[in-house]
Amino acid sequence: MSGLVPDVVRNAIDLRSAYDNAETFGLVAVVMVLGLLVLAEALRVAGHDGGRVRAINAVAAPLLLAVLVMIAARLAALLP
Amino acid sequence: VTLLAEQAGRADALLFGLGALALLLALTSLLIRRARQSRERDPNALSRRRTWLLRLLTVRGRRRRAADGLRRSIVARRASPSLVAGYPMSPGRTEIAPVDLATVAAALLAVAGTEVVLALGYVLVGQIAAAVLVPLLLIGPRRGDASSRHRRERTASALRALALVPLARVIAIALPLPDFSAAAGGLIVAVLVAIAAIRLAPRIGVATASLFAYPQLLSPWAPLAGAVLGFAAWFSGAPALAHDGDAPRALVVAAAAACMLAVAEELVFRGVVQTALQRAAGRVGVLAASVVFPLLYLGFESVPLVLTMAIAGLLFADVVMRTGSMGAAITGHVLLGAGASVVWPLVLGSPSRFDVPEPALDAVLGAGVVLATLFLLRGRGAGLVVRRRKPKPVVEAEVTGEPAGALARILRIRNDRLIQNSAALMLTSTATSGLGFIFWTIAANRYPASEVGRASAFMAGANLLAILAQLNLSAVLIRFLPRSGHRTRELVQRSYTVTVCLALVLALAFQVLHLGHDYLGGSPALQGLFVAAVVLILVSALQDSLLTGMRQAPAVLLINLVFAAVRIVLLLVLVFVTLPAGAIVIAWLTPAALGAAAVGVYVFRVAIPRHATASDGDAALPPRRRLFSFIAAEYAKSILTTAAGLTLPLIIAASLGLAEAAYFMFPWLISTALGMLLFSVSTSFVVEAGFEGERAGRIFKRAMWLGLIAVVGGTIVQVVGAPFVLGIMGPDYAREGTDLMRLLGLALPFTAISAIYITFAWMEQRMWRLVSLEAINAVTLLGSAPFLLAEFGLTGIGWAYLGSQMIMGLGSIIPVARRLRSRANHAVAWQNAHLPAQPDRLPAGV
Repeated sequence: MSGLVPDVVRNAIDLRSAYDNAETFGLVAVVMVLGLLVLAEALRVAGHDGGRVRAINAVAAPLLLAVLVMIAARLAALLP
Repeated sequence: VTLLAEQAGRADALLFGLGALALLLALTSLLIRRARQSRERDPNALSRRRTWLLRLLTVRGRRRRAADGLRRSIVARRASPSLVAGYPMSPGRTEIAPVDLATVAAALLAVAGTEVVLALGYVLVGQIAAAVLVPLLLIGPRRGDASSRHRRERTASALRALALVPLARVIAIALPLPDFSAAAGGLIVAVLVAIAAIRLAPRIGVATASLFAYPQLLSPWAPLAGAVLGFAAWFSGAPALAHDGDAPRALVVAAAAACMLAVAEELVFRGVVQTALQRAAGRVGVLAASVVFPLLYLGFESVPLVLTMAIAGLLFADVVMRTGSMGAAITGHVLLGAGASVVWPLVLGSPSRFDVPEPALDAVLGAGVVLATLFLLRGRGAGLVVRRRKPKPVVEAEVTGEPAGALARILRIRNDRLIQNSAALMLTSTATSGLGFIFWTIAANRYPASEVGRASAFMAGANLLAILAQLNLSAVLIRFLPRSGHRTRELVQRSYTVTVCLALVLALAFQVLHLGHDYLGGSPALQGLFVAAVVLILVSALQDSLLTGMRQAPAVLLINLVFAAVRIVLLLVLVFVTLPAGAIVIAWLTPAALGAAAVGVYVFRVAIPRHATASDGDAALPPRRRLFSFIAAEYAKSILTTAAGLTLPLIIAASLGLAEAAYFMFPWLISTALGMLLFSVSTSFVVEAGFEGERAGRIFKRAMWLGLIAVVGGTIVQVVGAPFVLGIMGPDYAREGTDLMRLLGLALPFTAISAIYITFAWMEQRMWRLVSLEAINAVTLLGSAPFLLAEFGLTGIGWAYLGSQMIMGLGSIIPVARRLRSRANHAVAWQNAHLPAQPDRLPAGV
């Protein structure tokens, strides 16, 4: 029992197929990672203060890990 | 990507393609940064790159980075005289930094709105909203002029902290949860969210080290609240991660997930969000963080659960604010999560069988939320701060040439009588219980259940009489022997004479009245053995106390270990030779007889003369009247304890039969042993504080930690390990005793609270208070046990015991809290109240 994975989330994920989940929830996360990484680079190039960039990088790392888990899980499902 | 699209479908192709792109971009970013550092020829770039992996992978690295940031911050702000941990704070009070409250409030509303959208079932919309919110919050407010820089930094910190909440949502929703079990999925989500919190914390000014700082102020309330609220959450319909019949591996994953999820939530909400908001808006900020926390639970569609978590959030927030440490709150949340998701579902199954009207539950929990809110608003404290490491004291050992550091600590422990004796007492309790468990396990596997039940009832009866006969002089001897001087032999001889005579009288009366007819069966041999058993148990207990009182606790450990081992060997020998009636009893008593003789010779020939010589012949026993009052109170207490504890097997043997008594005995034995562990800590603290009065405060703190470890370990062993432990003795024992053992385990935290109170009463020499406490326990337990036994069988005994311990524990909370608050004063009082070693500090009349 944790508020991080409430029933409503679990049910929504369970009710869809793996492909549907990848095309919706997975896609949002991957696009978000890309957006954050692009944003961090843009801020760095624009010469903004390092605090923002470091904060974005700090958040992007676990998201990247999440994407890796997603890819690994799908790979495991694809492999015979 | 094209190949994948053909082979596996466009969803996987899209996922792989975008994932690869993200990784490529991250790698490019790193390479660019590295190249830039090299171009700038930063002399420290190489060393920083070397530690990058370490910093990413190890807590130590993260701590070092946080420390670096802190150091830079301190250098930059050295001008501020009230600087604490790089932030302008004064002790006990947060100085609120200027902040754009409208922006923070808007961010709070946006985060809350996202949670509401999710709770309404629009998961994709909620996730997209969260994904949009994260970068917006991370970017923070626009740049202003130089005068508003401080305000902008504080606002940015608050917004970045809030970004963790939608981030956690995006991660949790995006992960392929259907591929995992609920527990494994939760574990992965928790690890990733915890990583995010730990990485983001330094970016908002919370050093990573402070998230894992050791609690400086002992706060038992959060763990206690967590345990109670765990039950409330289970009752409110919290989903379970473990179910009866799950494989052991699944149970381990479920327990790990419950704990890790709790840790992650604490890191996010109390560690990062609360700290940032407290700096922005003081106590109102703490309250705002506590409001966001239960919103996460809206998705469970259970009002009682949301209210329960709101209470938990408010209480944990208060603890973090007051103690400046996450330790107690994390412990409390872990107990809550583990209780709601693992322990209670395993022990009690589904709460649906309890028909409680939901409006009533909502009203009670709503009142709890109001009270907790008031409690929080009354609280004071600066919240989570980085505690600077204390400068290393100049160790005496360095001056005298002794080795410093860990080795010195070990050497000091080896030479510290206090720790030796305390450890010996604890080990004696643990080892004899463990070996006793092995003894009875062998007996259960080799002998029929009726024979095991007969032996257990026999030993319980003999123990009961021995305890009645010894007048609890064991405790009295421990207390007065250190000051008995040349009167030691006289004191010991009189104790022996009086108690042995009384034991003989009681044992004979027991048989004349045919009280043990069920298990003695009219056999003259067993009757004779019974009389011998009473005397031997009595003498063994007295000898243990004699040696403990003369500070020879290691000898007690050695003796008990040897005789327990001999007992086991003898039992095995008797199994292979023959299976006579009463073989288990013979195996138990023979080493006790040999031991009593050998130790008796040692005590009278060696220990007593040595003790009298060491005390220079001075005797300072209390006046006879005070001594008798002490003995009377101790005796009354022991009778009540015995009545409450040892009468139960007799009741079961009489009402359910000998086999049921055997099924009861093992959970009871284990529970008693774990309870004794607690009282060993208490006893060793009392004895050693008596000898080392000046160090009573420090010893107390250590004793509390030891006790906490014993409680947590003992509860887990009994609740989670019940079927496995009892399964060792056979499937019948596991089937009949698992529920009972779990209920006994759940009573252990409450026993711990009353043990603390008992310790205080001992120290303050208010023995008659203990008598009243034990009377309440005995009346509750023995009054309810027969009814519950008739209704629920053996499990009813567990309910009766849990109920009596809850009453004792909850009744002790207020006096314990009062004393914990004024612990420093009590340490002085204890020091003055204790008898041994310091005649000039004895209270008047002693």
